[in-house]
Amino acid sequence: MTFKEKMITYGKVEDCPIIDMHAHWYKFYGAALPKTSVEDSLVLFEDSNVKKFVFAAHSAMHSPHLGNQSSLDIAKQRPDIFKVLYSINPNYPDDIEKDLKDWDKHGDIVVGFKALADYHKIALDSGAYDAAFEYANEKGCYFLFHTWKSPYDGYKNIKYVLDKYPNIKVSTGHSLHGNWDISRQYCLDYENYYFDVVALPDEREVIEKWFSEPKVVDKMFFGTDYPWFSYHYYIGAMLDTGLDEESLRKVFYGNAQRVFPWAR
Amino acid sequence: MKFFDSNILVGRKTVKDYTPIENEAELLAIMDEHGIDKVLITHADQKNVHPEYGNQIALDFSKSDRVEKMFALVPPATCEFDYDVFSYMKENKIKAVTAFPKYMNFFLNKVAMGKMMDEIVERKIPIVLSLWGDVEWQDVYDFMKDFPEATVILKDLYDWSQNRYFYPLLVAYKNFYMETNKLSLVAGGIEDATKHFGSERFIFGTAYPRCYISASKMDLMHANIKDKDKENIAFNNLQRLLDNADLS
Repeated sequence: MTFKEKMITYGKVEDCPIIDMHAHWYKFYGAALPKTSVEDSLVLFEDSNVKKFVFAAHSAMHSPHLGNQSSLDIAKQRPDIFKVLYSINPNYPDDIEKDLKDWDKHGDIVVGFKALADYHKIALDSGAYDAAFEYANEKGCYFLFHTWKSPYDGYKNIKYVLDKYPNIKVSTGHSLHGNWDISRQYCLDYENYYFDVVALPDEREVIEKWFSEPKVVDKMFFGTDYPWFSYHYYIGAMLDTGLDEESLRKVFYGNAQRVFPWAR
Repeated sequence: MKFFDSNILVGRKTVKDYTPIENEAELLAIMDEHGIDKVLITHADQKNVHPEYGNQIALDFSKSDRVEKMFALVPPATCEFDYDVFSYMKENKIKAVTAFPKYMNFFLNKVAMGKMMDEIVERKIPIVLSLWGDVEWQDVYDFMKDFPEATVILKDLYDWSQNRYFYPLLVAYKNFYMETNKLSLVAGGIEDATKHFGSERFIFGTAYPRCYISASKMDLMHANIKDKDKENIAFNNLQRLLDNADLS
């Protein structure tokens, strides 16, 4: 059996862990999401061989009252799998200051940051995120950005971060969605630029056309936006992109493990 | 497990997006490569040109008994077909219909579709509708209100979970069915839907060439539901609906 045949037949290959670099948690106002309990997710992780789940809870991103504590509360139940991204909401700078003081007090549970500028309605290059950027730059840590065609987190806003903070491991969730050519070019131009596949495998011929050359594959992380999207749907889609086994393994786990010790 | 894909587009679209399936040989090769036993196709010309021409093109696309076709409808009042629709379907063994009301500028309701749709409903002929540019949710709700006994397969959910739209339809109308491609995209989507409504209400589909076949297939294969339920969704339900279509 080929790697692809094994994956499709068994749902997983034991020596191919899945590192989900872009996930969330809890229910969401805009949709009924069926799988939002720790018990449910652990079953799906087992079925798909998910070994690391890097997330910012919906409640952390959307409720200034609950904040990042809601992510920490989940992660502490399975700290070997759950890794937290601190959500940065610049509408509340006092909370950012507090979170930055708290960031490295949780061992290896908290591994990076998440910005959701399109929803928080403050542009990444406005200066409002700079305290977090400076902190992340000093630590050289993972910073996941929701990126779509937007005046808040589009390719120009991301360029500001890339140019000014070269030690941040910038990852564009959704890969600057719709600006595929620019995301591809950033992969080639910036050592600290990465992207994830969330919302790319929903339709064919994006990865094939824009993100299949070796230097670009090396910058690609796997992600699912869980509890939004299915592991097996995304894995099956990736298997049909035409990427070879070596490339697929890089995307599923190799790239994350190469860049981040906590992902190994 | 056998797979009957309810959602395959063949032929070149006016505006090219995804690499099209050009001919029967290509279609059968793709089916064999992915382990798909049968398909229900739409041909691009059924929508992009005119149903009278497109229906014949779809019919001529393949003579394989692995390839089922649909008849694209327009309102009967405009008399755009030079033949009796049901005789044509019977003669050519077409067991399902489809419609593109937004693209073709008509309403898919009682006034527009009248007695023709009454007969389609009475004959239990499946009506396949797509949310990607052909109908909106309000259109579906209006149609089901006008034709509550209709056998409808709704396909092409959007990427976000749409349960709040279609779960109520599954509750209200016993002959309403959902195609599974984007239901499979949602984590636990198939499992949750099957838990609420049973496996008989869901029809496997992939939306190829827009979406990846292995995505839908792998999600269904490894869903945490019984094997019998997977077989229903993967093949049996669509075959049953087509077999139930009365073309006499």
